[in-house]
Amino acid sequence: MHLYGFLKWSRRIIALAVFAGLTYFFIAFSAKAAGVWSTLLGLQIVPAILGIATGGLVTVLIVLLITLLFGRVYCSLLCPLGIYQDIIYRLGLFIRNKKKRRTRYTKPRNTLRYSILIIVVICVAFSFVLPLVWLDPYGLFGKMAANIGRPLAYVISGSKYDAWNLAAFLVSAAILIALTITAFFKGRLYCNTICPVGTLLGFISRYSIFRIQIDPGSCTHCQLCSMNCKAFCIDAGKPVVDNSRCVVCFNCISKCVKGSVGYRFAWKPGKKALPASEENKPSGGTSRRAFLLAAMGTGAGVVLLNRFTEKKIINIPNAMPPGAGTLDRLKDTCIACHACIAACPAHIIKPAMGAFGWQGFLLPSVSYDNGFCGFDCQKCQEVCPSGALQLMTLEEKKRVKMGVVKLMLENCIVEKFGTDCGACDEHCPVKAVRMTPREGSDKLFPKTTPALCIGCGGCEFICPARPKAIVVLPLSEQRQADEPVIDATINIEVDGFGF
Amino acid sequence: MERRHFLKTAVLGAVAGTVGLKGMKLFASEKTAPGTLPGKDSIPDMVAIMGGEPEQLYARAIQEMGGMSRYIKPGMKVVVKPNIGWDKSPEYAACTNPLLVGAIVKDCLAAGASEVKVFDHTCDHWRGCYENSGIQEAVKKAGGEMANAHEERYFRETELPMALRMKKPKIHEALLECDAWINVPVLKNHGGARMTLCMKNYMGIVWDRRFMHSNDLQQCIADAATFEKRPVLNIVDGYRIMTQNGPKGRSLEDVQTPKALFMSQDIVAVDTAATQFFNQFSAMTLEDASHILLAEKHQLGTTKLDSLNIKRIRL
Repeated sequence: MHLYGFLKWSRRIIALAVFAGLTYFFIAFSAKAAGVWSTLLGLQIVPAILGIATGGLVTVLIVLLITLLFGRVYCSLLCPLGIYQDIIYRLGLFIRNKKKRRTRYTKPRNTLRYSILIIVVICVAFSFVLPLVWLDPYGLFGKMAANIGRPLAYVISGSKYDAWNLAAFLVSAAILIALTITAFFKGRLYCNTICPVGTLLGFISRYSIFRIQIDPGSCTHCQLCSMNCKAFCIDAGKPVVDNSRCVVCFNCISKCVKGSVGYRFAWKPGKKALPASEENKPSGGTSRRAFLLAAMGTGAGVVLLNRFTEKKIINIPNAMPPGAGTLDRLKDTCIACHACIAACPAHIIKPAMGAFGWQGFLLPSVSYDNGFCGFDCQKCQEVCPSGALQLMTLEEKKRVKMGVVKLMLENCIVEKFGTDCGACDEHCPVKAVRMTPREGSDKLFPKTTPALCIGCGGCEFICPARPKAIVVLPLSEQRQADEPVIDATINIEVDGFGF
Repeated sequence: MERRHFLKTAVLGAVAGTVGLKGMKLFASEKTAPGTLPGKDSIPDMVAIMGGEPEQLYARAIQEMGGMSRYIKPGMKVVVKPNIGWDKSPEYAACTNPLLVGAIVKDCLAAGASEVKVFDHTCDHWRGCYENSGIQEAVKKAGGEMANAHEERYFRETELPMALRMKKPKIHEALLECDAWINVPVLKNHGGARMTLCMKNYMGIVWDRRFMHSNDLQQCIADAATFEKRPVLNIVDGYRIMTQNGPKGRSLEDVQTPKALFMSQDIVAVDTAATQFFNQFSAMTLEDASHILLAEKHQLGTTKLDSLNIKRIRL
C-alpha cells in the first residue's frame, strides 16, 4: 500500500510541476530559460509526431514505449490539458455533495473516439493537420494559456500586451469554459471520447505490460474504486477496469479497503489477455465495422475536399515567423499551440485571422505594428515543439527572408519636407535600406537593396511618415537573403584630437 | 562646512597652481598627483583624453574636472543616461561602453548620491539592449539600478518653452524626478542625424521618436536639448567609435578604437569637439550634423572651441 501511496503522490507532484512549468512558460516566458522550456515542450507527443523528421522521433518512441509498459501515464503526467481537467475534477469533489457520489462508470464511446482517431490519422498522413489544431490537447492548452492567461498577467502587472487578439481570446475562452464544465462533472470525458491522443494511447494501453486490475476473488463490489475514478472506467460490478480509458492515477488503489485493486504485471502474449469487457471485444458487429469504414471515408473525403478547395496563396497580408519555410509547410506542421507567440520578446507574432486562409486561422503570423523581428533573436524557433518554425543556426536565421522591402519615396519625410530623418536606415540590420546622398541636395535619401532585405520589419515599424514610406511585403515562401557585402577592414590611427 | 569647503578648494587651488596646471593648452604629459583635485580656477571647460582603458580615461578626466563631488552632492537622486539603443555587444560600439557607465555610477554613489538610475528608450527590444550591451550588469555591479523605459507610462508630458518644433514631448519620469543627471553617449555616425552624440542622446529620454523624425529631426534634437534640467556633465565615450553604418552598425568593420573620451559641461562644445575628432576618421562637418549649430542658436553652448579652456591629455 505504501508503494501505491508513493506512486500516487509522485504522480501528483510531477503533474503539478509540469502543469505549473508549462503555464508559467506561456504566461511569463523568460528568454533565459528557453532551453528548459523547449525541453518541456519537446515532450509533447503531437508536436513530436508532426516534427518526427526534425527531432521528434525520440519523444514519440519514448512515449509509445512508456505507454506500452505502464499504460496512459503520459495523460496523467505530461499532458497539460489532462492535468488541468484533473485539477478541476478534484476541485469539483470538494465542492459537490459527497453523498451524491455514486457509482461512476460509463460505457466507452468507442465508435466516436475511434472514428475521430481514424479521421485525424488519415488527415495527418496526408499532411492536413487542421483537425489537430482543434483537437490536440497540448495545442488547446497553449491557445488558452497564451490568449487568456498571458493577457491577464499583463493586465495585472499593468503592462501593455501587444499580441492581444480578441477573436483568439473568445475562441480560447469558449474552449476553456466547455472543458471546465465537462471536467467538473464528468472528469476526463474529453480525454476518453474526443482526444485523439487519449484514444491512440488508450488503444496501446489495452496491451500494456503493467495494468490496473481488480482481483475478482477478494472484491466485494463496494464501488469505492469506481466512485473515485475520474476516467469513469471501472465497472465494479464485474469487476473490471477498462484500461483503454484508465490514466493510471492510482486513486482507486489507495481507496480499496480490501486490497483487491492493484497495479500488476499483466502481459500475456496473444489476444486472450484482453479484459473480458464487452465493449472492448475486438470483433464487433457489422454496424461497428461500417462506422469505422465510414470514418475512414470521412477522413479521405476531408483530405480530398481540402486538396481541391485549397487555393495556392501567393500574396499573404502577414508574414510568417522566421523558419516557417512555405505557407503550405506551416499549415502542414503547426498546431497553433502559440508557444512562439508566448516566446516572442517583441510581441510581433500574433494569431492569424484570415491572413493564411480559413485553414490558417490562429496560426502564428507576424505584424510590424508594435515591433519588429530582433536580428539576434530566434526564440520562436527555439521553443517551437513541432519544428514548424525550423530551428537553424543564428547565422542562417539572420538571412531568412520573411518579406521584402518596398520603398515609396513619395511618402518619405526627407522627400516631402526636406528635413533629415533616416529612421529606416537606423533600424535596418543588413543595410538593405541606406541613407544615400543625392546630387543637388545636402540631404540623405533612403535607397533600398531588396536582395539584402530579410523582412524584419524594423523600417516599417519605425517609419514616421503617414502613410508609411517603407513597408515589408510578406512572402508566402521564405527564402535566403543575399549575404551582405561587408566593407573592407581599415584601421585608422589618429594622433591628435582634430581640434 | 562652507568655510571648510572654501579652504580646501583654496589650498588645492594653490597646490595645483604651483604645479603649473593653470591654463595649460599643450598636451599634458605631466600627471597630476593621484587624488589631488585641481582648484576652482584651474578647472578646464573641457577635457579631451586619449590612449587608455575606459575606466582610466574616465578617472583621469573626472579628476581634471574637479572630481565627481563637484557635480553630485550627498543625497542627490542621480540619473546616468547612456546610449543603450541597440541589442549589440560592446565591441560593436552601438551602445556606450559598459565599463565607463559602471565607473560613473560607482563614482556617483561614492560622491554620496542616494540612488543612481540608468535607462534608455531603446530602439531594439529593450531587454536585449539592456542585457547584451553589458550595461545592465555593469550598473547593477556598481550599485545602480536600471529603470524601465519601454512603455509610454514611464514618460510624462513636459513643456519646453524654448523649443521651436517639439514643444511638449513626453520625457522619462526618472529624469523629471532626479536632482542631477549625467549624459553619456557613445560616438557614432548616424544615417539620419549624421552624428549621434550628447544631444542626439536626448532622443532616448523622449517617448515619441517618430514625432522627432517627422518634424525636422535636427531641430527637434536641438529642442530636446533645451530641457531645462541640463546634464551636470556630458561625457562622450570615444573608446570604440562607429564610423560607418551607424547608429546600429552591421559588423566589426564599422568600428574604430581610438580609446578617447570627452568631458564637458558645455553640451554644444563637447559635441563640436567629438564631431571634429570624428572628422579625422570620416568626413563630417557641423553643417551636416546641424543640430549642433541649432543648439548654439538656442544658446545652449558654443561651437567656438578656441574660446574655451580645453585640457588635452594623452595617456
